[in-house]
Amino acid sequence: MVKITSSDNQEFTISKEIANQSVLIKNMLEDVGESDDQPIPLPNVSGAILQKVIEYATMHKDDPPPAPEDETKLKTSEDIEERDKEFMQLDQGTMFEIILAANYLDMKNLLDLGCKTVANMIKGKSVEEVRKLFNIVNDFTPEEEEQIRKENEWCEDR
Amino acid sequence: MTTLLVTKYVTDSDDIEHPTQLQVTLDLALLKKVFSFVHPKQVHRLRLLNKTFATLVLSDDFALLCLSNSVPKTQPGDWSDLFAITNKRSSLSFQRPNEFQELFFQWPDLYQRLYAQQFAQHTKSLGKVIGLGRGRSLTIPHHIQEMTSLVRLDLGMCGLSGTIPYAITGLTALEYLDLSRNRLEGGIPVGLGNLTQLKLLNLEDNELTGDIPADLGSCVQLVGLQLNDNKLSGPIPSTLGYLTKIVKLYLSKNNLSGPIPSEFGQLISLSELRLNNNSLTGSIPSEICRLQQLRSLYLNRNKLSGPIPLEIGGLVQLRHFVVNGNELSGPIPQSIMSLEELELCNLKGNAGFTCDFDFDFSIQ
Repeated sequence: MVKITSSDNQEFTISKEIANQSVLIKNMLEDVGESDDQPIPLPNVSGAILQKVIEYATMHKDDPPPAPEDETKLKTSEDIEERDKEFMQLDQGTMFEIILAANYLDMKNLLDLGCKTVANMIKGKSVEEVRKLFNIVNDFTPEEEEQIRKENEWCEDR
Repeated sequence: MTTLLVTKYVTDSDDIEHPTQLQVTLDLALLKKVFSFVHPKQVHRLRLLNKTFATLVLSDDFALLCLSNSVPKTQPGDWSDLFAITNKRSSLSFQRPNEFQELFFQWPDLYQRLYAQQFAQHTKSLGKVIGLGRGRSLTIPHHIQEMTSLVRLDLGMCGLSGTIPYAITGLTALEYLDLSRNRLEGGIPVGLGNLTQLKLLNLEDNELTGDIPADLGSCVQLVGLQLNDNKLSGPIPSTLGYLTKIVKLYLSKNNLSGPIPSEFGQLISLSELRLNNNSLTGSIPSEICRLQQLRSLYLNRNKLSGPIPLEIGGLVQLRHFVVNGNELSGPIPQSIMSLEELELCNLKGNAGFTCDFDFDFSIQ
């Protein structure tokens, strides 16, 4: 078993196979060796988010090892398992925090899942809607905006 | 630096009434990853979000990431996207391009290059992007030169304008090149002679100018050469006489001048020769009367003079003999009577023929 602590000092005890899904923790464990009983501090992840991440890792602990990179297979955002879709039914803030955590913990599948989920929220939305969604401020001058509209003529109709 | 930012309201159990605001931001690296899963077309539309994003979309590494998440890679020897439908009907005339083949003609240079280099290097056929410009004029991207596996390039009637890029001369696997019925202008690039596998070259009905390059004579696999309905000028290169597999040779409705090369007598497979509506001069070379496969010979509306060759009877398959509107003269050779297949013979509007046998001029 492995102990990890969150930024707000919550301690979690998880099995090694779950811990190993994070490349960061896996590397740390290899560095410190088996014998160390000290919990691994994860100062970038809050307890609430770590809880979710562990939930995800537990759900996927029996997954077969990833197939060697198949060049013909697309990583489209449509391609999400049902259970993962359910897992990601979260408020936007938590979703972002999970992406940040997955990035920090180096969990490729969870990071992809988070990014795809956000991408799916963007899908089909107008520029204005996406700006609102993510608090993006339009910093173009009218001239610059006009220039991009011109360059974009080819993709404006659909 | 731009980030994606959302505000999360965290309710502390001690103070339910006053949730604290917590801003969660994704940095540029993560933003890049998120948007790479969005369709490349929408991603371009989202360049309008802000400056950082406008730049990001046109960066090499983002473009590559985004394309690899949505564009299927073709494999060596894979015709998939093209012939999936056609195979069932065993007809190659009914093709449907995939979406990205269409986008290849539209999106920015960077995406054209990456698509051609990374995703289409095994693509064998590109074609029928009909109506895709919806009135906007498209050009043939020079990055097409990266698609070195192309065997078919079928861009007839696609609303293309601009010139035929020289890049096309590097596609040495091409067997079928159809750019007909567009608004292409400029010259036929010298170097098409490199395309020695070419079986069909169809450039008809464009606005091409300049000479017919002599090196087309190197395309010895050509079965069809259609350069008609353009504004080509200069002489017909005699090197076309090397095209011994050619069946259809259409050079009509241009401004070609000079004589009909006597080397055409070597075109032993030729079935249809259309040189009409040009400014060709000289006489009809008797050598072409050796062409035993020739079924139709259209020389009308030129400035040809002299007699109809005595050997005309050698064209045993001839059905259409159309030479009206020239300056031909002299006796009509009696051997014309032996042409059993002759259905159409138009000799009108010439300088005057004599006939010392009973010739049925009604087959006109």
